[in-house]
Amino acid sequence: MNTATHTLDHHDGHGHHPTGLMRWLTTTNHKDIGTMYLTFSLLMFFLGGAMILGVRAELFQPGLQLMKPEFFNQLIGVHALVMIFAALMPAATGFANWMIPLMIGAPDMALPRLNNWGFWLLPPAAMLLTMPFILALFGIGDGAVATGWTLYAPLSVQGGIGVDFAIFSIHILGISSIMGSINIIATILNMRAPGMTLMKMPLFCWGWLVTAVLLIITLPVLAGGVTMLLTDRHFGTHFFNAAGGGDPILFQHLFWFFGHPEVYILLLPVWGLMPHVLSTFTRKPIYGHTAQVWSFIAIGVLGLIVWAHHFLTAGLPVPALLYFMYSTMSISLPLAVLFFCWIATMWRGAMSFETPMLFAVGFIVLFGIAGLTGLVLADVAADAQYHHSYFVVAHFHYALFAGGIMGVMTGVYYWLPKWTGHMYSEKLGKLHFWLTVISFNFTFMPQFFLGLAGMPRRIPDYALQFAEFNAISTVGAFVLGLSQLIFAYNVWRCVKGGEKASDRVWEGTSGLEWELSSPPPHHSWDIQPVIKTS
Amino acid sequence: MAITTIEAEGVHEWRARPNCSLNPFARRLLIGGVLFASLLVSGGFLIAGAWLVLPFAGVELAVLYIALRILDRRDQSSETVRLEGSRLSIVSHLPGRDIHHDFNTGWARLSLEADTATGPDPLICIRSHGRCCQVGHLMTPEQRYQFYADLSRRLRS
Repeated sequence: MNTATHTLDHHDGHGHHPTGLMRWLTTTNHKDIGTMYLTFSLLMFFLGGAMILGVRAELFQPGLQLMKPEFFNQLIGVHALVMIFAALMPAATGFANWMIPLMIGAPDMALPRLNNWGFWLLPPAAMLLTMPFILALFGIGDGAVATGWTLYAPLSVQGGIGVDFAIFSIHILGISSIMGSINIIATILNMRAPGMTLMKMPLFCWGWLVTAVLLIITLPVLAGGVTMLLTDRHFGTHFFNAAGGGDPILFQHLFWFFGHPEVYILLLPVWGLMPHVLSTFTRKPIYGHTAQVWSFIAIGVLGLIVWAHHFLTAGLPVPALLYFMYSTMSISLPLAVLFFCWIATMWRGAMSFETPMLFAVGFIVLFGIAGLTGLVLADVAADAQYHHSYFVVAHFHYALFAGGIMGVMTGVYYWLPKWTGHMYSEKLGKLHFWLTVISFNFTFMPQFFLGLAGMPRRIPDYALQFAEFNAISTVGAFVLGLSQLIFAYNVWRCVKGGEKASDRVWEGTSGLEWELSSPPPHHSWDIQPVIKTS
Repeated sequence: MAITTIEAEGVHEWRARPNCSLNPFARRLLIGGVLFASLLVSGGFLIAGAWLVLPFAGVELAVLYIALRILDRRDQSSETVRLEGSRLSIVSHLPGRDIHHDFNTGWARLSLEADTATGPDPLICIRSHGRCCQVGHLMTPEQRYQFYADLSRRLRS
C-alpha cells in the first residue's frame, strides 16, 4: 500500500466571476474585498485630511478667522475618528484581505461572507460619523461630535446629537472590526498551507494575528464604555456623573484600555510589513524572524497593561503612576528589538532605493522620533508639563502618520504592481515620498516646539508667541495634503495601465505571494501549495 | 485541500479533506485563551462598576465560538471514493449531510456538471440507474479535473 499527496503547480484560474456593480456588492472574494477596503480608506484619508486642513487654516495666524470654535472642535474630533477608524484601520484590513491568503497559500479567507458584511458595515458607519455636519446645515442638531476622538465624560454626556451619532458609528465600526478579526484569526490559524508552521509564517501575518487578538480583547471595553455613555445621556444612569455617584475617570480607563492597544492595532500590521520590504530591497533574508515574532507578542501583551499613561495627570495614586510609567517604558524594549532587526536586515545589504524602500527607511527614522518622544511622555514628571500640549499632537502624528500612514504607503507601493499587474511611476513615487517627508516634518516638528513652549492642543486661537511655528506648520500641512494627490494619481494611473509587472515584481522578493501571477488570478491557489520542511 | 490516494491490491481509494492547519486541541486552546483574557478584562471592569463590558465580551466570544465551530464542522468533512473490483463506493461526510452510494463500475457513468449552489466550476457526477452522486465538493477545480480524468481512466480499464 502506498500513500501519496498531490501537490501541483498553481494555474491561472478559471476566469468565472461576476462583473459590474453586483460583483462589488456581493463579492466574497478576498481580493475584491481588499480592494474595496483600500479604496474606502483612500477616500476617507482625503476626507479626514480635508477636515484637518480647515483646522490648520484657522491656526495659520492667531485670532478667529474662518470658523467658530465649536466647528473647529468638531473638525478636530471627526478628523481623528475618520483617520483612525475609517482610513488607517481599513487600509490595514485591506492589506490583510489582499495579502494574507496569498502569503499563507489559502484560496480565500476562512469566512468569506462574514468578510463581505464586515466591509459593507463601514460606509454606513462613516456616514453616521459625518452626517451631523450636514444635518446642522438644515438646522437639525448642533453639528458633529465636538469632544475630540476620546469622547471624555462629562463633556460628552452634555454634548449634542453628534455624540450619539459618534457612539452608534463606533458600535458599527467595532462590529466590522470584530468580524474582520475573527476572520483573520480563523484564516491564519486554520488555512495555512501544509508545512507552514507558525514560526515559518510571514511576519506580516504575525503582525495581523496579534492585532486581531488585541481587537478581540479590547473592543468589548470600548463598546461597553460608549454604551454606558449613551445610557448616561438618555436613560438617567450616572456611570460617569460624579454628582450621581459615578466616576468620570472610569470613562478614561474604559476608553484608553481600548485606545492604547488601538495604537498597536494600527501599527502592528505595518511593523509586520516592514521586514518584507527591507529584506526585498536589501536582497537579504529577514534578520531575527523569531525575535520579531516574540517582540510582536510582547508589545501586544504590554500594550494591554499600560493604558493609563494617557491620563497620568488625572490624579491617579502615586503607586499607579509609577506602575504605568515603568510599564510604558518597558514597551521600548521589544520595540528596540524590532528596530535592531530592521537595521540588521539592511546592514551590508545590496540596497536599492525604489519608492517602497524610501518609505520604509523614512518610516524607521520618523517612527524612531515617535518612540523617543513617547518615552518623554511616559515619564510622570515630564508628562505633567507636556500633557495636553502640542508636544503630544506632534508625538502621535509621528507615530500614526510616519508610522501608520507612511507604512501603509510603503505597502501600497510594494504590492501595487502585484495587485494590478502594472508598475507605478517610480518618478512620481519618489516625488511623492520626498514631498511627504519634507512637508510632514515642516508640519509636525514645529508642533514639538509649540508644545515645549506651552501651547495647549484643541484651541482655535493662541498667544502671539506661537504664531511663527503655527504658520510654518500650516504651510507644511497644505503641502503634505496636496502631495497626497500625487499618490492618488499614481495609484489611479497604475490601476489603469502602464508597464507590465513581472510575477515576482522585485528582484529580492521571497514568499508564496510572489509565486502567483501579477495580478493574481481571481481564484488564487486552486492547487494547495506545500511548504518544504528543509 | 489535500487528496490522499491509497493503492492496494485491486483497491484504489481517493480521500479528499479540507486543508486544516489548526488541530482541535489548538482550537480549544485558542478559545480558552481568549475566554480567559476576556473574562479577566471584563471581570476587572465589572468590579470597577463598568458591568456593561461583560455582555459585549460575551456576545463577541459567542461569535468567535460559532465561527470556530463552523470551521470545525467544515474540517471534519471528507469525501472518499473507493474502487474495488466491480464496486465503486462513495462516502461523503459534508456539513449537514452524510452520503453513502455504491455503484457497479460497469454501469457507472461520469460527467462534469455545474451546480449553481457550489459555484461556477463543475462537480463530478456519478450516475447509474437513475441515481446521481456528486463528488468534488472538497476539491479545487484543478483537482476535480485531475480526479475526473484519473477515475474515468480507471473505470475504462
